Amino acid sequence: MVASATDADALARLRAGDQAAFRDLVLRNQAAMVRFASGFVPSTAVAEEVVQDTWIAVIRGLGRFEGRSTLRTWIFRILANQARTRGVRERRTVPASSLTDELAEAEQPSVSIERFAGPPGRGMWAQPPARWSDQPEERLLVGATFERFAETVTVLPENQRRVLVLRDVEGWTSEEVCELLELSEVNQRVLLHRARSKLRALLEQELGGST
Amino acid sequence: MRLMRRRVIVCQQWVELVTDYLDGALPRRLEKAIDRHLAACEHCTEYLAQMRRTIELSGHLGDDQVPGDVIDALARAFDEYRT
Repeated sequence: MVASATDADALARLRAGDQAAFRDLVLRNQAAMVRFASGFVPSTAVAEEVVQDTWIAVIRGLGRFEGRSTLRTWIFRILANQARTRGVRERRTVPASSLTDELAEAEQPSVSIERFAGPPGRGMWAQPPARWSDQPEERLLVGATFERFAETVTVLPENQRRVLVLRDVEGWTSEEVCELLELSEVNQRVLLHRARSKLRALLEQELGGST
Repeated sequence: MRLMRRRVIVCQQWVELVTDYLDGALPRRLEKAIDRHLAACEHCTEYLAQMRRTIELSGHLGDDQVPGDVIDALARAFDEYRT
């Protein structure tokens, strides 16, 4: 994905030193950047520092940006590099989960096989999902359920978490996510599916009673 | 008479295909088989609705505000560098 006309316009203003354009860029990306960086480093405070350093690098690098990707992808790529370097330094003793491991883990069924009856892999629901999808938004957003939901996102394996955050929290397209994280479409979707399936299972447990 | 065997999807297969389905990444034939299954299976229809609610809920994790002082500090850094 290459820079759009809107990007070209924003870029021209940024290069001309238009502070309002820069404030707008920060406003639109800051929270997403902190969330994304948090997946690489041990704390939000460190993530905020990394994001700060990234903005400085962006300011300095604006003259070199060539528009071969979107402005957002370019910024997040700088962020990913900075966050990765910082993460390695801060978390030397904890081995990061590898993409290979996470893809292997994603081979596990999305729903426990015990909940299906029939030929292996081709079963029908024996314990169907308890109905909760019609519950009002307020019920889902307020209170302990949403807190546990947010907590579950933070403890997802890092590759799953990165994909989920970009796709479902920030609303990026699959194409943009693949470009930034250097993933194939298939692997990206496998990681996303795994992450979503875990979150759905959590909600079922929270909202749907015992089944 | 030409006999075309229709592809059939069952519940346990569906739960592994939801994300591909929502991304429009499946071959047309498979997508049609899923639609037929969903029309006949209320549990899998509920499962799809639950995945959609899950995605919506993730979207709400992005509702947080950016502190004004952070933006101000960065805007100053921007001005300093540009001038």
